[in-house]
Amino acid sequence: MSNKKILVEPIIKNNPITIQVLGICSALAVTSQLKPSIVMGISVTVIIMFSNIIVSMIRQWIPKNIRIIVEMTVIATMVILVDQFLRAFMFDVSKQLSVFVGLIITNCIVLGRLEGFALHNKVMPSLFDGLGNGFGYALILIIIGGMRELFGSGKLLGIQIIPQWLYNVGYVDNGLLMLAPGAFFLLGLLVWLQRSITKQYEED
Amino acid sequence: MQQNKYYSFIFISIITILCGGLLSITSMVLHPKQELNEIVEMKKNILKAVGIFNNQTKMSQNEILDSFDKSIESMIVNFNGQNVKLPAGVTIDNINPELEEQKNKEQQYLPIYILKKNEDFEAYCIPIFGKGLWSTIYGYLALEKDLETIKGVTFYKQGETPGLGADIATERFTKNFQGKKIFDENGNLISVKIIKGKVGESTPNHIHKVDGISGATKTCDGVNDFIIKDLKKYEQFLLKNRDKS
Repeated sequence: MSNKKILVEPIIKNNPITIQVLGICSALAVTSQLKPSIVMGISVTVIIMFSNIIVSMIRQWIPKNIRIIVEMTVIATMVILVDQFLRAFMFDVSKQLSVFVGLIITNCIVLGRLEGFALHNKVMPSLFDGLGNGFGYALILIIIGGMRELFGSGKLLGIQIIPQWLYNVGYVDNGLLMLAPGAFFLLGLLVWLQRSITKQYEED
Repeated sequence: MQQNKYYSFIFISIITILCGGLLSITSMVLHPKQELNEIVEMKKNILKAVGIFNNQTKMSQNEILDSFDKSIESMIVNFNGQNVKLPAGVTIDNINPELEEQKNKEQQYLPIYILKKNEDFEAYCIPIFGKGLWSTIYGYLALEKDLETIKGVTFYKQGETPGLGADIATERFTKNFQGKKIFDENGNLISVKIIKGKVGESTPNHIHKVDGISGATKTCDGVNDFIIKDLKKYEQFLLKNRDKS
């Protein structure tokens, strides 16, 4: 597979959230506003990419019997690094994301990519695989985060988008979208939309 | 060679040392910046609780520190409501209310932040903290100068469920506390209580009740518990100074 294909495929065709249905927990939890969604998307992308690179670099020396432990150590280190940087330089967002940055450790996409790809591939393809999967994850988060903030509170990135006159004639923000079930419905609709376009169904 | 158990042991040791070293260095380098963020956040929240700062206010970190130094005076009282001096070398910024709580009642240092306007006391602010559902919640509670009416409440550090319990930190929720009373008609400290649903004029005792957040009952129960717990510590101070005014 060419690097380009490795990069592009997980963004739409083999998206980690809508096709593989991984990383749902954080996709529902942090997406009530656009800004934390973007930061979370970038954080996960950085973490997958660097974990992929590191594991791929040391793949020949990793003892098979403890490979999961090694992978988790690498992931945990990356996650703590990102968490520390957010706390120092993006304090407000880090407060909003609270525990979910730490919980990236348990995000199955990250471990999945290490096990499924980085362990058997060279450094460059692993880098692109990490980037692609990160973008695929970020894309869905941004779509859901944007829709939830826009229709749930009438804003985008904290700026009022839906004009006041619309509220005056009776428009009401959809409170359901601010809650986790609202995100769940949105995600379900996205999965449906994507599969009905790509005609890719899972047979039993 | 890869199957050798000594090899595995050495390999994971090297990885652990490398990762641990990297994390220690990062933590050392970033720690001063993180600490400054925390202090600014704390002072910002005291300013918020006493009402001279809100989410719309745009201030740089230095402006916040300046404004705090100008308008807030702090003091320490003990359990009996008397003024106490801190031992040499300790400042009010070093007082950790959480550690104080583990001491004997008589030895606790209780910080109070006072908003002053032209030599008049305008508001009193005390730290509040306690367990929510998942995490320890930290905040401030400010009282009007009558020491009875709540001027404002903020929560600045918490790890509650985002979108549900974490909403206690939003202005939408905290503004419900404003104007509520912590003493009943007989002068007993009864605090306020967050209840399910909306509080209206017809709700019995509505002056002591606060609108809840649906889906965040456990978090709100925690908040109820620790607000009364922390107010109790200051009860003597409140009673003494209420009589004066």
